[in-house]
Amino acid sequence: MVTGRIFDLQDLSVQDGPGIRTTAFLKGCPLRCRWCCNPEGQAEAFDLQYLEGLCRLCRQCLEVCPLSAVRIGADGRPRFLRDICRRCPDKPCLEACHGRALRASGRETRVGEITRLIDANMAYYRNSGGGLTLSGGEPLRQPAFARALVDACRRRDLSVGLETCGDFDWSEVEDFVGAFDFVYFDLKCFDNERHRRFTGRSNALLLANFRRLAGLAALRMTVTLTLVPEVNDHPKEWSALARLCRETGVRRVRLLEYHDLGREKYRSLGRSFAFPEGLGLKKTVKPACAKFLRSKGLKIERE
Amino acid sequence: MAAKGKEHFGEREIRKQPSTKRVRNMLARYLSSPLMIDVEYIRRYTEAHRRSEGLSPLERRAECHASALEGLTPVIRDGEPFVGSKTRFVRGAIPYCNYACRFVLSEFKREEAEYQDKVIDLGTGGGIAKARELSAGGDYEFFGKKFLLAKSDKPVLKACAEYFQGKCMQDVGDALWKAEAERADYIEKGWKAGLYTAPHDPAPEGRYVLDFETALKDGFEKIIGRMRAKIASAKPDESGAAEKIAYWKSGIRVLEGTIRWAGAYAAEARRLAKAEKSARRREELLEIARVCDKVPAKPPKTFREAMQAFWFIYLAGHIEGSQLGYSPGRFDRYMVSFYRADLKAGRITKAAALELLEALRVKMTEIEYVASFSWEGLGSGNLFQNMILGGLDDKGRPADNELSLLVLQSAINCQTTQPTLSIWYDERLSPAFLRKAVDCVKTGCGFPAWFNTKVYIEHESRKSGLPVPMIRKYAAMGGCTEPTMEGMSYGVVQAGFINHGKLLELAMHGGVDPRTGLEFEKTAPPENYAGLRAAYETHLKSAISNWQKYWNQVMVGHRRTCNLVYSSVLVRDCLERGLSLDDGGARVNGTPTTLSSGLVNVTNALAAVKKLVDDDGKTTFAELLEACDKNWKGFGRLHRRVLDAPKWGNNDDYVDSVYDELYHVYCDAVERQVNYLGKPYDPSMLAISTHTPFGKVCGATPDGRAAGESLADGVTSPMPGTDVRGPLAVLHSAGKIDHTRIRGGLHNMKFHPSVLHGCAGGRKLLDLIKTYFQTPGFQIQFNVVDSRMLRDAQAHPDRYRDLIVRVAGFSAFFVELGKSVQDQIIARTEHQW
Repeated sequence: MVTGRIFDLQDLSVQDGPGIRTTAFLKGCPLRCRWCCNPEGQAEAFDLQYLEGLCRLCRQCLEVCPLSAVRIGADGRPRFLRDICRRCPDKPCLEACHGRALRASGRETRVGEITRLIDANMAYYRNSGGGLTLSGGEPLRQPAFARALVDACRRRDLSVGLETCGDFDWSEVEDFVGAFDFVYFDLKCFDNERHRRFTGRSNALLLANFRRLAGLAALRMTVTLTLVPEVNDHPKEWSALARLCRETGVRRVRLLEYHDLGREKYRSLGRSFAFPEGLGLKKTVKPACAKFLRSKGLKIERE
Repeated sequence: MAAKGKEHFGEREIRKQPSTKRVRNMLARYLSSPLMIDVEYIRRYTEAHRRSEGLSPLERRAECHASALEGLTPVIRDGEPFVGSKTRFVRGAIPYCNYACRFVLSEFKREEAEYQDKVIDLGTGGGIAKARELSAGGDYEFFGKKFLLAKSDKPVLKACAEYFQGKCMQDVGDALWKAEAERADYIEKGWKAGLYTAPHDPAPEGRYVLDFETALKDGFEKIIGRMRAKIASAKPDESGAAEKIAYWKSGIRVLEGTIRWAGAYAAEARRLAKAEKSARRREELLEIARVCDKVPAKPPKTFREAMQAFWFIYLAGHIEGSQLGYSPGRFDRYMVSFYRADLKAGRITKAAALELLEALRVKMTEIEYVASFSWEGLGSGNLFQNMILGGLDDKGRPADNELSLLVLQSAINCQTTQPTLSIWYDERLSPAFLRKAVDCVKTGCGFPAWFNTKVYIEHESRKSGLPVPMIRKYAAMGGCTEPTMEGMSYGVVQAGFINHGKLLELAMHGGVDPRTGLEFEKTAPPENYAGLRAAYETHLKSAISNWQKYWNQVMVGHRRTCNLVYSSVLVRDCLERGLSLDDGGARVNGTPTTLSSGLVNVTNALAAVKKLVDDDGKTTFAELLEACDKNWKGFGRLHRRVLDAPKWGNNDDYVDSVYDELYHVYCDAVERQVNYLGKPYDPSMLAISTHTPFGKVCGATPDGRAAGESLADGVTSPMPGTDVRGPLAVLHSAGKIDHTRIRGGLHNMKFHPSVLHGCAGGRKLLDLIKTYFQTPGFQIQFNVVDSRMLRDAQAHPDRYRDLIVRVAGFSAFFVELGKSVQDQIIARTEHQW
């Protein structure tokens, strides 16, 4: 049985794609977008999340830790040596914590676990035209797992969707990537220097993948553009996007706005939010962008 | 965050206001009016009672009510398109001393009316705040913590209450059950321990629907004629003939009094017309006078006349009894013919009809209810008037029509708490109607609630044996979530609930309540799952049977003192049979239910014991008991394990099967006993707001709940924070039980507005309902709000005066709810993605 790593499974996910859906969040993403609101999905390995508000200062984590990776700070709260935690096989602290303040983000799962859930929910999908959506992280970085899930849906004649950032190895997914019923393709920024600076990687691979995928499924694709201050909140970026869409035949864009609601998650992971605080998107940006893209013949979703 | 104001929150997608200035003014008047006690009715009732000694109980009741009703001051407020007010005040309540006088007297003594009142808190915002402001002026006094009573009315009310000592339903009923019930001590201990909700002093009538169809079609004069004919043809030598004649005479007295009451409004309208400066309003008042002379004596012809007739017929029943759950039934079915005829004849426009329906919402919300405040805390002042739309006709075809749509639109426009709307759901209801219903959900008012027609039809046909076509056509809702047959069934539900949490505690402690030390049945101290379950079942069965026996005695007292005459004439078969409601005259007498709440907590506790003690051997029951007694202090590790044990609402058969078994144990136990009308009791489960006070009297329980924490609400809603596998898993769990066994039941789901956004969001909601009802679930209702918004409303009630949320089976103004109920609403798992 094929296994994979996920960090969440969400039922009744009604915002992404048609009908009532279940979204599987596959763990691991090569990009490190500074505004990412799912930082717990970035690393391939398991992450320890510490939810301060739930902590009862019971120190059970300190007591049960087999690797001596816990220190207690002056405030009585635990600090975790997370590089060590990541290698911990049993993670006894998760079950020992009195307040359920410790959580593993990321776990191994089998395709069977997900198909069982799908089968239980089948009537809800059938009545609404919904199904399964693979999201992440970058789901196509786990090609075998993703392929097995797509196959499982195909066998059930069930809709299966994809949310991708495009940063995957085409040769590994070529055989099934055209089979998705819809694809939300996340594009950040066309200026490669800025792309590198804000995401840690070049945009060359993902733009190439965009063109390849559009060759198979342009009409089933929607670009997701999250408007982020400095990164892509200006017309130059938008016209580059419009050009790409025209060249590839992709017709729809979903516009989202940068928010910092994920800030707490960074804290729980022992990381700091890498995006400057208080940097908000001007209210005029999204309408302006929508107007521009519409003038280029693109259809805007969920404005 | 709160300071930033509303733009910070997810906006409610749909927000409207009443369509005309007239209704906007009515709503504004309502929102700024204080809650008042009006003594007029009870003063007149008491006077009549003093002079009517010697009449049979039914005739005396008729005389008292009719003479009180026909002498009420008619109040016509500025701009009202149809008239009739329960009291002289916009928001007025009648203190029914004939039902219960003790809480009135103890209120005067500034005593805590009931032991349990200590654990119930009331709201402080809105109209209640207004009352506080006025009482500071000096002419008024506070009554029942949120009402105002004119200082000059105080001696009147006191005299009424004193007169009814020993005569009111409560005192007569108490004398009976204390003498007759086998285990009277059990009931009293049950109240003290919090095993039951407070005693029956508010004695709520209700949970039924009048036969509006016949009353509108024939008019009261024809019904009176029928009774006269019955009397004329009664054979004096027949057994029971004298009682039957007394019944018909009582009925005639009350209907004639009701016609005179309407006539007083006609006179008042004419008087006002004379003084009216605006020509338009003068015309209107004269038209009102004409209509009030006609209805309800004669059948209405136009929609306007029918609205006035409906309101008189409905309101008169509201005045006769201390009603809760008394409802208008299938309004869209029995009113649509008037609307259609008017449209066809060009007598009315859609807009004009909409205005009337919006005004009706304000009028229905104006009716207030006063009781000892232990009940106030539970019901949050709501009268549970439930208007149900859609459904099927007798042939099984979808029955929604153009008036159903208009009623929904009136609720979208005119956001008041009453009446709550419900939908008898069927997949074939028209798309336009379903879409409009979703729009109404999107306003965030918490209704309509959705009910599965198929499930109820199966329940009712099994219980009462009525033909299916009749059930389809007349299935209605009497109260928050309890179905009833419109115009043909009767049942004063037990004015109390059984606390499953307390039963669990008794089982854990060998039959002793740990909080009060009171001893109930002795049961063996449990050591494992089987022991705990057996002890729980023992306590459950005796709590149910003692409560039912007690209530049957109380209802004997009801029959002697407060039997409903008006409703007895307007519920099918009473008139034919010559029998009042309390004598079993209604066509269906199996409606009385036995209510309970907290089964989810018991289920989770039993599952935890099964898992940790029996299966895993990780702990002993003794250790678990000690941990609960110490409220988990020093047992952090164990508490964690308990919380990790399987919980209801995650589609986990390990625990869901426990729920299913207990559910049948409960239903079997309830059905074992016969009600005061000679039919088996019907099981029901809901919470209203009992889960909060019930939780307060319970210590920590092995489901991981801390001492004093609220129990789970609803019937199938999970304990907040324990449903970790998402909302579909919750619905899978809820769909596993046989909903056809109970009369009523509810399932709460809360959505962030963004989930339902747009057409697609609305369609998904409908698909969700459709699928859940295929499982088949019975009921589902939605809160579309944002918990941040609710917290802000808690902090700044003045900014959120109009914010309505759904609490259990009813909607309420959020700012008027007690803080603990507010907290519970906020905590209810918010489904936001």
